[in-house]
Amino acid sequence: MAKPPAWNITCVLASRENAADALLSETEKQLEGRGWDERDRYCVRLALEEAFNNAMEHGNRRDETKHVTVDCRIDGDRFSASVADEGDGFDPEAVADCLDPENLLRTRGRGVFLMHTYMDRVRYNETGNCVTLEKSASRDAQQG
Amino acid sequence: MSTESFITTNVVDDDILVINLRGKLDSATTKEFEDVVQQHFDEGKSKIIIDCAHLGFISSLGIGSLVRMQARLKKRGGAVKLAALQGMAAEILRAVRVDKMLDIYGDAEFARQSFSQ
Repeated sequence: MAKPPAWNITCVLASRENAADALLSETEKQLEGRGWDERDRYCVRLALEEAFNNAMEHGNRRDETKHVTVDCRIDGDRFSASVADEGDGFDPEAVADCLDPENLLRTRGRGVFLMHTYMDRVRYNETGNCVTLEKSASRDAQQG
Repeated sequence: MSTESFITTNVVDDDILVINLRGKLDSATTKEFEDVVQQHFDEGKSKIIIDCAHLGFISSLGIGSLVRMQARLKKRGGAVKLAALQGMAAEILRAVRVDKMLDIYGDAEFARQSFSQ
């Protein structure tokens, strides 16, 4: 069977809860169609949701006049995405350690940790308002 | 019973709310979950079991909701207990050490019994 063509989508989303839901579902569906296993699909969905929520909440501060631009690409066993907001950016090194006992009871602050835990690579631009996520499938993706 | 497919509920031992979750507790479903919890919180209940046997996935929004719920229930002398965690949901919750804050049981029956101990 021929290798499925690369999938790429760019969405400009409102800074509103649930605005990325359709994109998350479609990305998961595209991964499944390329033979990515359930765990890997969940890893991608989790990291993408965390990146969008951070952009919406911390970047754009839920200002619905500002947008989150998400660019997703799947090429065989490689997934990558960039998630950019219109905020001033942040210093990822300054994010509190969510595993510190003093922070365990906090209701927020776990998104960055989860992105790093479940992606192969997480990078920020210099401004800190665009994150790039990368992951490879744990096993060879099915070729159709 | 709720008519929603993602979440169903029942009450055991008169005052323990058992919440059965199916699928994903994430940005799409956490609000619905919190609305159900709030309704029962408003009725004065302080003991909740979340049956996660069919919960496949949880994001930080869902995790934050659980942590917030535990803090509120503890103030009333109650608790939220997780049961039948498995798969990716179990892995994620352990990764962020939610198992240090919430009791986790093999199934809902063990969790129910623990409320009377």
